[in-house]
This record gives sequence, structure tokens and C-alpha cells, in this order.
Amino acid sequence: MKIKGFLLTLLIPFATFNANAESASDNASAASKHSVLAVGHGVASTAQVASAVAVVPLATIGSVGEVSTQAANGLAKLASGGNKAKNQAPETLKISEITITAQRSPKEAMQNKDDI
Amino acid sequence: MNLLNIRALCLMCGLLTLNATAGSQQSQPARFEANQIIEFSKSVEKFAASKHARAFIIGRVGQPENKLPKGIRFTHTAIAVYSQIQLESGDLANGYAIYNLYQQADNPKRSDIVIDYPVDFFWGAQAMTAGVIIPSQQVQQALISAISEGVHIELHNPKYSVIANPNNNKYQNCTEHTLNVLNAAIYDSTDMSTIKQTIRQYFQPQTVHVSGFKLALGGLFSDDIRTSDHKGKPRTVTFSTIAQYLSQYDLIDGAYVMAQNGNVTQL
Repeated sequence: MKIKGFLLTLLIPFATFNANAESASDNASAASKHSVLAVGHGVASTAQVASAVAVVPLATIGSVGEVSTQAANGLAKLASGGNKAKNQAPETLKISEITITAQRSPKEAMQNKDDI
Repeated sequence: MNLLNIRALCLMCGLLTLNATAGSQQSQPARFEANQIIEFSKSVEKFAASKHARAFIIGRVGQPENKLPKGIRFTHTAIAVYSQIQLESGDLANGYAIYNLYQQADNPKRSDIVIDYPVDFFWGAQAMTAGVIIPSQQVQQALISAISEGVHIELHNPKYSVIANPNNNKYQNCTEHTLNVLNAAIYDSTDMSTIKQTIRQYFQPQTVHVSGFKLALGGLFSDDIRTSDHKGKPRTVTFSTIAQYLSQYDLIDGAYVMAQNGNVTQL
């Protein structure tokens, strides 16, 4: 009985433990994010929300300006000796005001379709 | 309360602290208003941009801050890269894309590499607090090259452990993956044995302050706590130890913590 009591004491707090831990989420929670953003609950009317479909890292090479990294890779490696133009003022990086999100999962995309 | 209850309580406290290192889940229910998350995410982006960061290490708090174990301030770490992003409409927008290692939703012992964006990254955070480590410009360029060449995918080991040992590649967590990509960029190598050799030689991991008994018991109840990759006291990579590593070798422009009110302090 003492052993049972001990095990019970041991296991009950695990329920709390798991509830407190960051449990692995399912697509339902992801769905709620997209739904909230799509419906606009708690989102300012001025906030524009859009999903991303493609992304290209932007690198810089000296004074040439921004180019996609596909082009920049080789030159970036050439610059790895550390002789990049240090006396040039770094350019301003613009940030879009659009709230960008990852594409919804296939499961959520199907959940949002009207029943046929 | 008898002695056994007290012992059980102590044990649970230790395990709670241990699992607080977790935080690599992709999609958690929001704990803040959508507007707060949107505003905070955008302020983090604008802060990084104001520091001319084309690539930086980003951290979030995925557990209540008062439950974080000693030495751990952030529970999920990833690499943010300044990018041109094509939207569904076809329009182009500039901002940061985030390259993550996330635990799988239905199998916490496995992970995937996922690109998301700041509002996704902070959606399930427990606190509107961001960690921002800005490597030197030279390291940033190397990181961007590595990411665009797919190094982050090449170095991914999907076997997940919350307290993965960075000295070997038996398991990986988000922070170790970030360190691997960082070292691949610095040494211009995707050879895992080279990367691990440099980590063993130059990187100081964080000791996990939980006893072996608690770790063993924790492993029974939590799929993502695995210890077979460790000898002796478990040691793992944290957001802060990455900052210390870059700082030690003069490869850092700055390391910051941004609070919800916009206040920025040094890490």
C-alpha cells in the first residue's frame, strides 16, 4: 500500500507536469492562428495580413546594392577574407508593414473549404 | 505532508524545470491578442533592420519565464534572414524569413525544418520577449550563403532530444541545429565530423542542472528527453551560449533582449 501510495503521489503531479509543458501541438492550433488572422479578431483594421508563397534571401555586395543570394553566393565567399568595404555606410533595410505568415497546412486548407 | 510526498514534489519540480528547456513546437495556441503579437513581431523585425542585420539568431520564450531553468532564457532558437518574400497576391515584400527546426506535432521525437515568419514564430510564445544575436557582417554573409545553398537542410538530423548533446550528432534540437549551421558557415564546411570537432574544441555548452535520476525518470514520461548521447552531466546548446561563443571569437555585432514594451537591453 505504501508503494502504491508513493507511485500515485509520483504520477499525479505528472499530469500537471505535462499540462504545463509546451505540448506538441496539432494542426488545430495552427488553424486557429490562420483563422484569427483571416477573420481579423484582435487584429487592427490597418493590419494587412498575407501568406508567403516564396522567399529569396537578400545579400549585399559592397556598393552594388541588394541582389538575390543565388547571385551573391560566389562573391560573398570571395569577400570572406574580410576585405568588405567597411567604410561604406550600411544601407537601410526596409521592412514591409504587411504581416506575413507561412502558408496554412494542407489539413487546414481542407478544413476551410465549404462542404461539397 | 509526509516524507514521500515531499520527495515526489521535489522530483516533479526538477522535471518541470527540465522540460522548460523544450519549446521547439511550431504551432502553439496564442497567449496574447493577435494585435499584440503582430505589433511585437514587427517591432523585432524593425529593430533587427535598424541594426543592419541581414541574418541574425532569434530566440523566443516558450515557457513561463519563472519556470525556466538556471542558465536558460529562451526555449526556441532559429536563424532569421532578411529576404524578399513573394505573397499570394504576387506582390513582393521585404522582411525576415525564419529557418527553424521544429518538433513534429504528432511525434515529439522527430523534427522538421520549417520556414516561417515573425508572427508565426511568436504566435505561441509565453512572453512577448525576443532574443536577438547579430553576428558580424562577415558571418552574416556566410550564413546567408549557407542557407541559400540548403546547408540547414543538409545538416538536419530529425532525431530530436530537448537536451541534445552538441558534441555529437546522435540527436538534435533547434539550438544545436542553429549552432551546426553557424559553424558550417564559419568553416565553410558541411562535413558533420568537422563541425562537431570544432564545436568540441571551441564551444562551451550549458550544463543542464538536473540529476541523472530525474533525467532518467523524465525520459520515461516525455518522449523528447533523451540522454543516451551524454556521458556524465548533460550539456546542451542555449541561445546565450551561442552569443558567448560568437563573442569569445569576436564574431558578433550585438546580442539583445527585446521586451514587449519595446525596451531593448543587452543579453
